[in-house]
Amino acid sequence: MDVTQERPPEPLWYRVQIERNAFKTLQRRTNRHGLVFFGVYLLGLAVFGFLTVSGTLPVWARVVSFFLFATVFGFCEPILHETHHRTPFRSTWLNESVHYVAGVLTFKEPIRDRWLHAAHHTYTSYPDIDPEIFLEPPPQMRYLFVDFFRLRYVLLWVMATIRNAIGPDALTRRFVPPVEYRKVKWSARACLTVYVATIGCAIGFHTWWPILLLFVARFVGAPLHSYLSMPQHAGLAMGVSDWRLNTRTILMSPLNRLLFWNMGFHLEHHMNPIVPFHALPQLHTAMKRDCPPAYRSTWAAWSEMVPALWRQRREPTYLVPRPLTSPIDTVKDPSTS
Amino acid sequence: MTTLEQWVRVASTDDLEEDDVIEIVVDNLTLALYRTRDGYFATDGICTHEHARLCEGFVFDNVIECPKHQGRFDVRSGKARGAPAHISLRTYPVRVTGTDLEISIEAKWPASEP
Repeated sequence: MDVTQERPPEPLWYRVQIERNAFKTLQRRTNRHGLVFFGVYLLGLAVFGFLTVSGTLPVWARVVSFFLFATVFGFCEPILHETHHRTPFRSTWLNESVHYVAGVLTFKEPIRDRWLHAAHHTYTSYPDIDPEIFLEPPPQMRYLFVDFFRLRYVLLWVMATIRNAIGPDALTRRFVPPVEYRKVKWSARACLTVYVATIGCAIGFHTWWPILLLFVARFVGAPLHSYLSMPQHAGLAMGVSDWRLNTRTILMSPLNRLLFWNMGFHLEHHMNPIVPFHALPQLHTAMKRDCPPAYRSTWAAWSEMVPALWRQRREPTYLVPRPLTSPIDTVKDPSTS
Repeated sequence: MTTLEQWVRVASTDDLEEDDVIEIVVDNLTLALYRTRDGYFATDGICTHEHARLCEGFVFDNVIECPKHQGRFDVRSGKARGAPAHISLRTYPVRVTGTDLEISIEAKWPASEP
């Protein structure tokens, strides 16, 4: 992505019309849903972390516990994502507190990342401007493996945090208003303090556990989250202002919905990010008459995505076609008309 | 021409529930009219961050949340309360006359500092 360019005009996105009272109901906030999902996340970390660290289990069982701990850990990303949108909790302080914790665990400075994520919503899959674009055609297939373990992204995010602790980097200058630079800088410094303190604890107490449970777990546990999140946009249309063409909704198992905070309903989320994660299944029902069919499983999405990416290596203009029930360009973003 | 003393009827009190917002257009200006527990308020109807109609947003605790990126504004002062909103909205005086909601668009209150 060329970060030196000016921002282009914001695209006018197609949106499915939803009856006003139904939409108001879908927007409702509670603390309960967020606390339950976040509580499950913390409980998973606590239980598997305890089983890993305590010496009561045989080594193989502790290795399995660590893998499970790390897998749960990897789902800090959807928590950060949801709290970017401020929808999981009605309480502002609760949302912002969880937002910060999730940012530290994800290894993303959360204030800057909220701005970048807003730009991802504005320019979803627009080449050269979407800051979260993944495997832009022609794709480099090795990134499918590298990104499965977050090897590339986490390192890039940490480097960005170090850079922003000194001053704004190119992405910050492009997407964050100058009035926020100071806040981003101090927030990046706070994040780095946590990481340095963790390393300090490991050195001070002569133990590897802090390193394993924070740094190593971030990579070891990434695959399940990556498996669920990587097909969200990859292989689909680029540079079109219709999320139905560039975003997949994937129906997931109850366990994956719980871990992923319902982000399988990704098309619904992009079109109506004001709807909290817990109401996305109902939003899916309200919108599906005007959307392409949802993928029946994550495997079904991968089965489509990988061959498409492989084809894009030699044919970068190839994009997976998605069937539409209403003609594109007839109704453009009612929120901006 | 609207003057400082001239109030324009824009809606009825029945048009809004508590924690509700509707869009009104006065003299080609798109405005958002709110009812919260503290009364009736009016602001510009389009988000200052990017183009989005605030009437599709979520109102709670005297805050309007933009439907597009969830930027937040205090509907009483127009002040930006949460990123990605950082430029405040203009606010407009609202008065209740019987069951009529009236607004004076000439008496614009300047946007608060972010």
